[in-house]
Amino acid sequence: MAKKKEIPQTLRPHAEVLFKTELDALVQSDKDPRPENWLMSPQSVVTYLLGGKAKDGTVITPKYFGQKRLMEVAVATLATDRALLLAGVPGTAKTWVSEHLAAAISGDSTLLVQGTAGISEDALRYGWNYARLLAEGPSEKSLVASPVMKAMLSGKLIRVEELTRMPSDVQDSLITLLSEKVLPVPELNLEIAAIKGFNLIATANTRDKGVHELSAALRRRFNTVMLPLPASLEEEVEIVKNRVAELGSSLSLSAKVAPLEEIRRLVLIFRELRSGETSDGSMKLKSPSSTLSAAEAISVITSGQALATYFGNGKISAADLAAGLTGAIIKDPSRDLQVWQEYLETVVRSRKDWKDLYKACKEVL
Amino acid sequence: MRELKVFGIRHHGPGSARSLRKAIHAFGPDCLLIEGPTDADALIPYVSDDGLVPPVAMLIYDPKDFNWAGYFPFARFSPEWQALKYGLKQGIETRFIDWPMGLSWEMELAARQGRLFNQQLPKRQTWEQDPLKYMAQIAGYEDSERWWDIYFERASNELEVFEVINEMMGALRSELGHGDDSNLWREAHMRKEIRSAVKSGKERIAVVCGAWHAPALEAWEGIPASVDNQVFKGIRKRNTQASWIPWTYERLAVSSGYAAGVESPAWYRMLFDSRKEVTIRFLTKAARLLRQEKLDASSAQVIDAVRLAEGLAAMRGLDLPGIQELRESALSTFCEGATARLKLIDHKLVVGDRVGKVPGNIPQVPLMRDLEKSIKSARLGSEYESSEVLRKQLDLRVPSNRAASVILHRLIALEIPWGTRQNQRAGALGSFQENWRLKWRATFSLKVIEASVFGKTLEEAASNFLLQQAAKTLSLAKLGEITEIALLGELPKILPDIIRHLNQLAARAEDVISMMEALPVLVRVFRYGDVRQTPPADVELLVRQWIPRIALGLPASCTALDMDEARAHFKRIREVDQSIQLLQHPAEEESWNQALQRVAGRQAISPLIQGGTTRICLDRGIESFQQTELRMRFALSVTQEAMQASHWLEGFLFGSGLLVIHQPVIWNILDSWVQALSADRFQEILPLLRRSFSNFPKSERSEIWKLANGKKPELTQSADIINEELEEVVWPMIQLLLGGKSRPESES
Repeated sequence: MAKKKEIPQTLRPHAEVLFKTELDALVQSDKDPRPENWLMSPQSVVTYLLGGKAKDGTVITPKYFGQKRLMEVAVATLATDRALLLAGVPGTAKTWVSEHLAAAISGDSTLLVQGTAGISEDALRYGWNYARLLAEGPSEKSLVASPVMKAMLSGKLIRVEELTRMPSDVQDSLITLLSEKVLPVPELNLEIAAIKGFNLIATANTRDKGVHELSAALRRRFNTVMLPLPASLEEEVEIVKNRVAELGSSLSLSAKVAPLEEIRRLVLIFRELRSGETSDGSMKLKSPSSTLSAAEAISVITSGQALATYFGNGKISAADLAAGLTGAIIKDPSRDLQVWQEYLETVVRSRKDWKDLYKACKEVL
Repeated sequence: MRELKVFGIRHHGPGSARSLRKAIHAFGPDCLLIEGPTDADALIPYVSDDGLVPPVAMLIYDPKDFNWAGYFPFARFSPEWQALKYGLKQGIETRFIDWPMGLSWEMELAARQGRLFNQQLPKRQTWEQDPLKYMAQIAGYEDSERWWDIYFERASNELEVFEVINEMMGALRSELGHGDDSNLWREAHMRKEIRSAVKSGKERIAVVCGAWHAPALEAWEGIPASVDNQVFKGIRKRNTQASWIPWTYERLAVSSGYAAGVESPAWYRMLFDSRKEVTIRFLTKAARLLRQEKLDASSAQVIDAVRLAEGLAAMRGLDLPGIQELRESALSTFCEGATARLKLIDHKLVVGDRVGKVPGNIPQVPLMRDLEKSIKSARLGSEYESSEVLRKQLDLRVPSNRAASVILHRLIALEIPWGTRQNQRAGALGSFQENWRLKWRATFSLKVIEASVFGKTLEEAASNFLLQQAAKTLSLAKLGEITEIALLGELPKILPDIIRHLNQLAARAEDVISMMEALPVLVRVFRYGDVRQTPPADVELLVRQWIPRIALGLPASCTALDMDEARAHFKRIREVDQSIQLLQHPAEEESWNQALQRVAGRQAISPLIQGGTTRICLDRGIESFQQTELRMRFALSVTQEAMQASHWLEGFLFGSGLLVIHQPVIWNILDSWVQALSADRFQEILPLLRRSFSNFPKSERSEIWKLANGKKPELTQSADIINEELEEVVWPMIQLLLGGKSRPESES
């Protein structure tokens, strides 16, 4: 009973908690062969990601909007015991996909290492409980397992976020791990061997290219899946709409769904600025330094929603969006400000029915 | 007992070819009838010639009108090719049974003109074009060869496979209809041929045709001969000729526009040759191609890629990976997800660059024979046979080299660009040396055959073709080009005619610009014609008539131009000016000079051209320095629009800044003009100024910098003025003088 109450209070529940019914339905009705220690068959994993119906009729909501073949390659990679590298510009659902993959394959998306510039090898290997180490001397009991080691011991997936943010020497400690699938502990003269089902999903941001480039040896141990920006306006609108609805419910914002035309307008602005031309191809535009991914569109909408809920009449308006929009576009004031002003004056101003947005954005600037 | 089997195949389907080879062998026919036009029958015996290497095509054409021609390409994995090979090897009667092209064109014409069925031929549906692919797609396979593999390849009895296909097609046809009428006519013709084979007493007849036609041919006994004969009543067959021509995988691919083409010839070949390990071979080849592009791709990665491809196939419920799975796994492993890398090799990997070969002993059109003969005598044989891009330097003083140059130019005249001239400068006529880049494409053979309407020899064909072009064109510049190519191709006989056309067209021409474009070419012809021992004919007279006309029209042609047009026109003016200098006719020069002066001083003219002509006038001594100074002050006066002034400067300073450095007056005018500009204006025109100054040699720029800092210029000839382009020209001569010393490394 107590557990049940906990869930709604978590700010952001894990995927395996949030989509428990779907996962259960897929597991129960799965008849296809599954790799050892996998929760379900590869086919079911793909269904879980892309949506559809479980064999017992349970509706599976889509988690990833985009090409099916990308997800198939990702799942097939993991099924053939190769490590998976999800690459792409920020906001292309890399982390999102990796979380859901882990949830569907291992039933556990919590084994996670966040790559940072200050990370040490311990985070990928193991650390020591120093009090115990001093008291009892080196023993397995004084060993503190890293998430990677836990995953190896339990045959689960480990996720490494932002692999390219880690310094190269730390990255390289993954090489033995991936090729030999063992983790030597020289202090205790033993080695931890991974049990079947263990595998690694890493994400890497292509905007960081060149910061801590993967070494050729490490890169070779990954199959790479490049996640693209959404291909069409409609696809992108769909993504934003769905995520906003989900986030809105978890942030307990007012039930009013963001109006579709606001989402469309926003996505259109983002796409045009990103591609450097208007959607009809008639005008060349400058692109700002920000990525303007779907993820950012989502956060603009949710912040607008929050504004509308707490300070407005609950209905999202141009004024609610303007602040978030301006913030998302202008990341480098010296350059982006001019880009945004030009866009406002030449495109937004001249579009029919966009007067409200033009006025609201001018006020913010 | 007589037995007849119909083998329905998929055109260019390797699976089909493999099954067919086995099935025919098992059947053991004494007569082999193949879907293919009967007017190509004469070509069949050459298939056993080992010199004939696919991809090749049968070309069937109307010798009187080359607009009527048809191509029938074969690859090694085409079932028809395998059937032909088998038939010839066994020594059994082997022939084509589809309607002859000569008949099909007449039928098509008749249908188009409404004589026959009062309707146009509709576009074919995909299910008609490639019914087996259609079936595969219904079954959920994007790669129809994979579908064939999985459903048919493992059948123990090869003959049964074809029975199943025939049944399937029968069902498909009763569902979808028979397709357009031409299909029915062709089937009628094929049945006619089957009957005649039966009549001649053959016992075991094998018929190889596209799967779509199989049920209709199987039913030959049920359809009275008179019905089929009725179809062709009253239609007269045209005479055709046929020959083998080399083909390419490129043109076999659907992407080239060949409607019955396949998507991936290179992949199909691999499937045909080594089916069992095709996944491994394909990915190994991908790795090797990547290495050629200097990208990493190790054998370990091939292993990973093979495993991923197989895993993907299993996930998608396929027994074996198809081209989709292979591409995706290559992308994910070797290419690290970067599609650009895959694109680098994709074409070579999937389509391939294989070119077929047709040996010399196979009958060819006379023009082709003449061409090959002259190629041999000009010692271009190895270049002709190579499929690589080759470079060749020709010295026109060597007879065989000169012959080679003539051949290449004549081919260009026929719009067959075997060779392209490298580093070609204006005035190329005056040089003994030619640099060529050569690549013979298989498609050129077709063009040669097409060009053979114009003559039996290369000289005749090129002459007639150029004359026809000259008569058709209304552009003086184009005529100028034709004149030049006629000279380079040593076709002096047609020159008088072309000059006559030039004269007539020029007389009517209102347009100064096209005359200005043609003039430099003509001057080159006149001036250097004798390098090639060709008489300059009446060119000189023509040129002398033209110059005054150009001079008269020049000022009007320089008005109302936007910046890009002005730049282009200024270039034309410079070229005409240089040509006139070459000519050295004082009278014509005088009228041109006057025109330049008028342009330099007139107000309505584009400022860039004004500035440019002012400079030319100064350089040529047409105007005094004082006049130039006056013009400059005027153009750069404070009231003048800054944009206009900077355009004027761009023209005036074109090419060299020495003037600014050596003439303090000019410098002072420029300096005070810049100083008088407001900050905003200055920023606005800065890019334009930069455009003018950045073209100057470095030493000049640094001198100008000194001047701007108030120092005195001290210009000496420094080493970095060396112009690399000029160096290329001068160096061979220096080398000759020095006795073949190697070129010094350029100093930093």
